[in-house]
Amino acid sequence: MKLRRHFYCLAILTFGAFLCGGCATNQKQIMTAELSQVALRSIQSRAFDTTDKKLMLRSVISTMQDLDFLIQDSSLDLGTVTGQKYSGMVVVKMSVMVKERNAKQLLVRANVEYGIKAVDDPKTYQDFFAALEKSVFLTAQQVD
Amino acid sequence: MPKNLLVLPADYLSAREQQMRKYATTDDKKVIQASAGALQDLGFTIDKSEMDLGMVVSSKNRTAVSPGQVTAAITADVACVLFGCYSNLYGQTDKAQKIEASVLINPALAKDSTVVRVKFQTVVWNVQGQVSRFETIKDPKLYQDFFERVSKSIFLEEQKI
Repeated sequence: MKLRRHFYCLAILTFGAFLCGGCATNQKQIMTAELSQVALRSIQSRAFDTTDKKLMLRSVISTMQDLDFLIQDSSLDLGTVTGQKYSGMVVVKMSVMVKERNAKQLLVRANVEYGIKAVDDPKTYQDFFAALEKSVFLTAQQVD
Repeated sequence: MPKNLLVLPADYLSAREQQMRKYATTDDKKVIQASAGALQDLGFTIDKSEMDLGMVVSSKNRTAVSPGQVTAAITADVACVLFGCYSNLYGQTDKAQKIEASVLINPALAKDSTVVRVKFQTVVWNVQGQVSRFETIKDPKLYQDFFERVSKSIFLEEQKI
């Protein structure tokens, strides 16, 4: 009888531990990035030799339209554009930020989410910047 | 994850050609207002607009139910039950769609005119609430209709790019 009670106790404790463990991993997701911050930045960012933020943002929107994104939001002040598309049944979300890098250059940073996963594959971002280059008639330069 | 998630489609230039028209004016605001008006004429409601960038995003929600598709699915499902198996083709039939129109206004390279780009896209959901189709509308009549409405409201003929 006592043994059985011990068994129940243990079972409840184990279950509780699993639950808490679950919470910990779920909350950990909020702050984790899959790659190191520096690596991710370098994959997602490019510099362009222009200071025309408006033109750059318009080119970003146009490129996202070429790539079939539904444009959801944009702001010239903040320099952001957000869009969404579907790949099969999966939602692909993308946001782009344009800001001044120095007196002569703009920095464009993109990040993409595929379903519930962050996209950190360098090729995907290369493809985007290659498309953007065609739209803005400027070369995208790797930054470190 | 598909490898070509952000690769430009092969036909992007011809798509641009269909989606863009040039108007001989440099009055951005007038062109944006005319575009928003044309979208409203076509039954779209404006979701988001930004004058600084010359962007208007609008959408309309409509039914996507096609009686033929529903009849075929139900017939197949019933036939399946009669033969003792289970199928739910009805669940896969189209139910609702959201048609989205995004407009972007850009000064032409020569700075003497304004280029309007409109893109119509549709998302279709099935009876089970899953996205069953996502595509760009390519019907030339819709684009022509839009550009003609913009023309009429700014009293300028549109020109192909």
